[in-house]
Amino acid sequence: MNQFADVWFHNQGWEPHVFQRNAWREIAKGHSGLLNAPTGFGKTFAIWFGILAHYYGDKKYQAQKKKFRQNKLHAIWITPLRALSKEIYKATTQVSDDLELDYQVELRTGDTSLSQRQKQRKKPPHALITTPESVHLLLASKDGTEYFSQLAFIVVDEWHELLGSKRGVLVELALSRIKAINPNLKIWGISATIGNLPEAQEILLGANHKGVMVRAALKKSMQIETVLPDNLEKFPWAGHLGIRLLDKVMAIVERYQSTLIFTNTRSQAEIWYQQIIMHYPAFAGILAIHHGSLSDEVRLWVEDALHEGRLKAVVCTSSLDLGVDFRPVDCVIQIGSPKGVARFLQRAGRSGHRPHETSHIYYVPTNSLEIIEGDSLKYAIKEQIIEQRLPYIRSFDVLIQYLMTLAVGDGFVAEQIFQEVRTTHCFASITRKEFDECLSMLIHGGKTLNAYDDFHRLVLKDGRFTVESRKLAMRHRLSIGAIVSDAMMKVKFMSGKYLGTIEESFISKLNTGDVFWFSGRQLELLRVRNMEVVVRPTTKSKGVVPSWMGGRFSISPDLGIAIRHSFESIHKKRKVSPEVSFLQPLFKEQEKRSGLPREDELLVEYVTTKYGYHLFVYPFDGKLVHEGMAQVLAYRLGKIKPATFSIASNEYGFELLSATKYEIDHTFIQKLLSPAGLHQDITSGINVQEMARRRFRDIAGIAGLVFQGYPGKAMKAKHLQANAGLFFSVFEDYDPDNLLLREAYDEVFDFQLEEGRMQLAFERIAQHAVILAFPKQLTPFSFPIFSESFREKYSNEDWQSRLEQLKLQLEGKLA
Amino acid sequence: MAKKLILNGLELFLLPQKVVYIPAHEMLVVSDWHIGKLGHFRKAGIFVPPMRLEEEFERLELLLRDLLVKKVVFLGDLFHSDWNYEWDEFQLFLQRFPSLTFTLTLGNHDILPKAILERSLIELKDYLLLPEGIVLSHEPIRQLDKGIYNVVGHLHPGCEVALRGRQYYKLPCFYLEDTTLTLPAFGRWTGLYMVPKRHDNRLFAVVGNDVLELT
Repeated sequence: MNQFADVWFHNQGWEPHVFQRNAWREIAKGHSGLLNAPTGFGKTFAIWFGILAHYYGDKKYQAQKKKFRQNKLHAIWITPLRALSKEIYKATTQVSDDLELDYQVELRTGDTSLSQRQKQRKKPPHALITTPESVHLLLASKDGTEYFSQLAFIVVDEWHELLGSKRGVLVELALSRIKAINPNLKIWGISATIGNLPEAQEILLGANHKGVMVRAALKKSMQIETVLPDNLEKFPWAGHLGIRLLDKVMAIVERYQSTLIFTNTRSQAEIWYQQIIMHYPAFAGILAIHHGSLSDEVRLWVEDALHEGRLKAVVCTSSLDLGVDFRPVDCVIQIGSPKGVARFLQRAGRSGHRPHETSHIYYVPTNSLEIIEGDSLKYAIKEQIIEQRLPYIRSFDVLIQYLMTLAVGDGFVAEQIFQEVRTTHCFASITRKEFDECLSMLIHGGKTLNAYDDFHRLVLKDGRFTVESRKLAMRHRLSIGAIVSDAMMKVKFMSGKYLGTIEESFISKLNTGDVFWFSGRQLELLRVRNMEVVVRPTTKSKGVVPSWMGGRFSISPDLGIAIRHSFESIHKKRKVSPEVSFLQPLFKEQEKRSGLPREDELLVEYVTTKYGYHLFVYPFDGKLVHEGMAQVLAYRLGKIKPATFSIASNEYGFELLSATKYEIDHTFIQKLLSPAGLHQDITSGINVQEMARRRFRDIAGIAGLVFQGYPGKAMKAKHLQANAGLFFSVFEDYDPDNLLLREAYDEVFDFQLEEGRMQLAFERIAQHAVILAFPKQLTPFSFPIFSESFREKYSNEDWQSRLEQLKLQLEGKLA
Repeated sequence: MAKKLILNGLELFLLPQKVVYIPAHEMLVVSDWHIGKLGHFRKAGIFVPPMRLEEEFERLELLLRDLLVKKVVFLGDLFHSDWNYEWDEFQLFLQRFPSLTFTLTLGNHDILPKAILERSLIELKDYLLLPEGIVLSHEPIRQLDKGIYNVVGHLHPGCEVALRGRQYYKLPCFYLEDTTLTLPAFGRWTGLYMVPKRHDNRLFAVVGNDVLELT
């Protein structure tokens, strides 16, 4: 059926899976589609041989090909990760080599040299393996349109991963353009299982598409075990590190050939690496560390060593979540809550990924209440509760970047691009007025009315918008992308050997001679020059571990459902999971100090500490909903008596802390939690400014407001540096209707304060009996929330009276 | 309420408007205004809304009307970068005060061409010495003689104040350490450099209409 596949599979001694045959058939019929298959089963080949068969066999294409004066690009393969790009590149070139085909495959990522890129533009290969950003860079080059004119295929790998981020919007926009250039384009997506697969397909292929869905009906066996401490009493009530279970973790590592130890943050990975080497010195040389801030050289070395089976264990972060298969890996350990079912499954799949092997994964809780998530994860997997990936809509920041990209390239006709953009899911609802507003930000630097002649970005020439300034064009090409990071500094040895990047804000707190841990090494800071940090290895005193911003996930709603299910079983006497029965003493303590709610009860605690008055509420509705509920409650409390609150929340509940005391009883709580007037309170009451301000940071970066500086020319751009907070304030004051500002608020309402879910939660709670407790001290439930360092602020005291308070306190101290 | 400091016998008032007033010399000291910052961004193709300059100028004008001032000293970083139209508007504003003298002690951001600066009403200096032994300059001057105080800007100092109920406020502040007094930035669109409170420094936070010392 696919002669290339037939020969190649035969030579390998393999038998194709049914889903592979299905994919080849659908591609041969000229369909677009979405392939849903797990990693490790040859999904790459399921698409790739279809592409080859088209190139050599499709009659229409053969006729076209004869007319080419030089080779034209035939296929683009987009992946979210450079490491994955390399893997696909290896696999596909191998096929061309094995079958002695003249089908040329090349890589184009951030690592590709300038000369190689220029060569690729002048003499395109048959296929490019690349990233969403690189496709936009191609659109930002002259003759980009011509470059894509004969493109037959775009494959988007790991689409589920891109979908839930603004990089997905980059893909949508690129597709809308290339489809317009070349209406015959076939689009194929590859996605792991997610809760909204049909939606994912529609977003990729377009509304009313005629594409197909090819699914691999393969089941994988998996063994999940929660690592329990020996003694619950000595296990901490709060914390995120998990180091206490180090010995247990290492005992597991010893039992397997090769283990991946997943942590949730890069600093946690550094700490685990350091602790293992300190307590198990024999692991030096067979233990490695892998995370996104390390240099490619370091990461490639680790990946190769993993392939070759030279490593006993690797401490890693989401940098090893995707794609690449490491055959020797037969065990995965997850430190701390994986925060999502899909992520947990994906990580589990990193071990024993050949079709008939079992995946082994161990869950290591970092605090006592977190133990229950082991039960929840097993439940979610059994019930196949898997997260949806929510796509971004109306991301004007990405649109502005895209318009600039097109202008820097071949220029664009506004009406044409408006029509194209409207076909994407992201901008399906955009009005001409909004589109024009985005345009006018680039043309006039704001609304047309107060245009200033000193602003020039886009110029209209023969009906096309273009960029004339070479400086602006270069600056834009450097900042294409939807991942915004803080100013990063390169960490290097004196010899010039490059170790990785670290946030400027961390380095700025260190002095020369200070010691810090990075890349699993203890390093002494020698000097900081421009954007480079020069270090040398040291054995001097204890060092600090850098913390990188970001990576602060909250638990997905779906895992939240599973956690709630686990809590419903805590009163059961029989048939409880090992996790729940292990936690019984903790629940007893909770009951003793305060109360232990049953399924139809809501627990509320009011505690006084030296910090002030804490109101804890436990709806078990997931962090997202809790953040919103807390804001509503703060607003309602503030109406009774003006106050300022510090708000913290987790999966189980939330806390409102203030210096103002409230007289609290049952009726008061019931009124506070009533669903009546909720809509009004959400829309007019909640102070979302702070939340929006945080969202605005990324928006400003993507839209091109914040400029990180030219590489190697850090000083020159200094006068142009300003943080997004400044721009947020400027817009709030001078241009409150600005689209980008509104986008920040919309994102808060779409992703953080989802009204529908809050309504449901309030209605559910209204049916519950309230247990109101006034514990003398913090409880097992409240302590983890109390310890949350990340807090929101809410206030309805006017600025003046807050200042009064501040003054009183300062003056009080003076006296 | 302003805060009074006496340095070498000279009275300096730290005003909540983020300036220093020296009555003995009828002098107002203004640091790091960074006029033209937003204009500079716009000129470079970054689409910030235009600044309402009148509002900015009014802040200074109010002070000049309320206080007895003959001399205004800009302590550097007066204009954010190279020329844009906001400079010209600023010149028009200065012309409203023919009886005043304006001095600028040059800062790292003051990179306007000499020709443009010299055409303005502003007298340019590297530093200004007051007879009481007080030197005004943009950045601290090293190796000053003993007993000489240095009043500077450049840093944009701020401090963090913790309140009951786990609340924190970041506020601009005046900052005195050894013989150096650092002014907060007068400019509205400037950031803060956080200075920790130690036993050997004094921080004077700007809290609404007051300047209060942290202890």
